[in-house]
Amino acid sequence: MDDFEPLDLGKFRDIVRRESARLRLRPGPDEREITFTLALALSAAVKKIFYEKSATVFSDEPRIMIKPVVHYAQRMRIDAMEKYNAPSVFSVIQLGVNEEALGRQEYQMTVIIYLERKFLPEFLRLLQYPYIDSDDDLEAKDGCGAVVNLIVGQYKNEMAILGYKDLTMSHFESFINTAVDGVGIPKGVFDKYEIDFEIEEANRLVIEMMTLPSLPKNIQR
Amino acid sequence: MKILVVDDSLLDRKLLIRVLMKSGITQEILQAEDGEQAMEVLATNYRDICLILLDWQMPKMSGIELMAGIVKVPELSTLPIIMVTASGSDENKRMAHQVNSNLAGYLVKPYKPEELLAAIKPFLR
Repeated sequence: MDDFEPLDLGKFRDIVRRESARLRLRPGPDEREITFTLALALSAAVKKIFYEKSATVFSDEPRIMIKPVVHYAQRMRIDAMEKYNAPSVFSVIQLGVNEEALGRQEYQMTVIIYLERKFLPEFLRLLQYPYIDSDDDLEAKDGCGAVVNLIVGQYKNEMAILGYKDLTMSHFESFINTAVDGVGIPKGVFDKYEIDFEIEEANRLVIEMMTLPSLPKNIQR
Repeated sequence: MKILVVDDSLLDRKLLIRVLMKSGITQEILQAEDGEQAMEVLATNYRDICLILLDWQMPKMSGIELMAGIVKVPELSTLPIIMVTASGSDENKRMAHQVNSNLAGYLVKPYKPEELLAAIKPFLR
């Protein structure tokens, strides 16, 4: 009787990630520099949106932090309650080289925005969206999705300035408090950038970005 | 038994496989183009693999990261690994041996075919 059992790929991946982090094997300084520039461009995109659409000024410069990804199977585990310690809504968009790649879940980048549920109507008002009832799950998810669409759309412009090719956006997916099955992120990404934005001295917008360092670029002529 | 070749460069993989084939090696050769893909191949084939030829610099997951994980997985920890890399710096060699104290070899590209064959010969089953 053959008792061969394939290895648990999830556990194997976790071991690689843990050992890589313990031995500080990744990412190399060049990769970190590239991904940090992409995080800066994302924060610039958000600032530009607020500058153009609202009189709101952020209390401080966005705070950019690098945190480890908590993997769940081949996806990322999420607990939005950690961001505000209050009921939250979050929306996710993945970027891929084209529709087919997105269909195969081959992501180049994932962007997630987190908003405190009770602040969502005010946040949308700041961005000149109509009022929504944040107690209504569907309206809250849709409102948050509108914000992630707006931000990622603007972010793509910033990326084009940096010379990156136009990536295809997935449709947004929104969740209340948690995503039971986690969310799809690029393969082999172990770190995420968290960007916190303060309005009137309170943390009002949290964005997470997971990216491959080697995004496709336009050919320089 | 099988040999797993992990390298993101198709050309380098072809070159290496050609050397192996021309020398009359009969082992089946499995290929992966990065550490992630290698993990998938290892997960389902580890019992049949007698040797891993592993590049260092690869997208998504480098060879050194993969090796750091392999040595911690009981089913894989005794698999012989030969690093085949363009980086011949003493620092990298030292790091590779630190990560895997049983490292079976460290070949620097461009290698001579006879160097490759001499390195792999003890591990062919």
